[in-house]
Amino acid sequence: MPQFFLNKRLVILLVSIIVLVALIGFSLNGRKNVTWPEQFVKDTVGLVQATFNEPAQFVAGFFQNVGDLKRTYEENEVLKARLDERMQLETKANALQQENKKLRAQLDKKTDLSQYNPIEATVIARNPDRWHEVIAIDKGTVHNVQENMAVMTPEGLIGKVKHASKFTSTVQLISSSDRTNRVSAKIQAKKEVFGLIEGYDDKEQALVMRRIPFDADIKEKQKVVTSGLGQEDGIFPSNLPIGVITKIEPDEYGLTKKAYIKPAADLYDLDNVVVAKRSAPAAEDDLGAEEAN
Amino acid sequence: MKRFVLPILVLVVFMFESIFVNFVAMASPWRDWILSPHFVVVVLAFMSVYYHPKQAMLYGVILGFMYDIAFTDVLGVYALGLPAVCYIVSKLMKIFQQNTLIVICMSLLAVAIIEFYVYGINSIINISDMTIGRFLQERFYATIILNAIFALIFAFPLQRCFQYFAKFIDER
Repeated sequence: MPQFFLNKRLVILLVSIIVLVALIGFSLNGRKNVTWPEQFVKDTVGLVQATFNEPAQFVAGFFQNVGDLKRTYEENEVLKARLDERMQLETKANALQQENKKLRAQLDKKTDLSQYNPIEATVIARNPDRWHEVIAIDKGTVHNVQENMAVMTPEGLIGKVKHASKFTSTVQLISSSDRTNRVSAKIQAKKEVFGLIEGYDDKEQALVMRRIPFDADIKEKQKVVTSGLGQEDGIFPSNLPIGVITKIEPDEYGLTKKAYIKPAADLYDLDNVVVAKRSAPAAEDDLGAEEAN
Repeated sequence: MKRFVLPILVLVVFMFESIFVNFVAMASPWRDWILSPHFVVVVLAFMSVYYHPKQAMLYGVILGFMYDIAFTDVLGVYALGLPAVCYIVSKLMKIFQQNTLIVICMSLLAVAIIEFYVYGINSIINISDMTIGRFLQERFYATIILNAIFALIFAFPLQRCFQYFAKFIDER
């Protein structure tokens, strides 16, 4: 008899390993949408999580307020100094916006890659096993959130919507070292330089932008923004700030350069985020429409 | 009424993990380390010792699936990992005597097994490119210490709670 029990256990072990491999294969198979049972679980967990999150946020907010009060004096000094600068910038920006509008009207060009409708959302959970840098937000397809939309804070881009279910969605942060984590970006040098942000370097604590032409005239401290032209992030608005270049190195083969970019947004302290729904249609939609014509 | 208490307790711990990460583990003093709370694993280890191993494995499967769906999007990793560690802990406890300190060590062993197992799978499927040295330095030790603190604080309440409910399972 003991032999028999031993075998039974072995069978269970083997079956569960097969199930494990099958499930992992299924979930990594480049699927775009999650199945409805998953969406249901995501929504239920998300909603419960949201109710738990509220009091926690309140407590955390209280401690933050105390911390802020301590720093008020120093901050006030700095802000006063910046106020004059800001007035100048504002008038200049206004004038430029007016001019832009006029020129656009002349050209009869209505859509603009950089325009987007903001959808405000609250972070309700963060992945406790910190392998996948993923957060959950409390807005879903009901609120017009779709997959691959850009997610940002006022400081800059933080990630993109990975899966959207009815009432919640999961956001993959730009700091995750996943291979699929790509954003097409441009460097605001004298002449704009386009490149691809591919993943995050944990050691440097910075994003890595590759495939920059070797003769590109880029320097440290230049700003990097989204280009809105990518394959996978085809519905990102352009000109969302991503970060600042901290280091430039030649790539492995010496044919191109790679730049390390420090993200502008604080990826640790996230509570309120904005999902950017681009006004201009995605490139694929355009192609589809042309084919239909 | 009493049969709802345990599922609710485990669910609260499950929710508490992600809130803990959001508000405590991300705070500036310990940003250099990756603190990953595995409080559910600790609770399940206690459950399989003081309550019932099979029940603990069942909870493990359900919570593991919830974990996979809600957070990692790679199905099956935790859903099979959690019941497996419950099984290992319950088998190991047959060798040792039931002493609270030993159970705490067992729960930490369970956390360690889960950490290494998930690290292994994530390395295989290319989700993480951490070297083993950096994994140990930045993540493993800090995570074990964090979960040890949790286990030390909640060892007696958990033990009491599960022993209390174990009485009812015998009666049934």
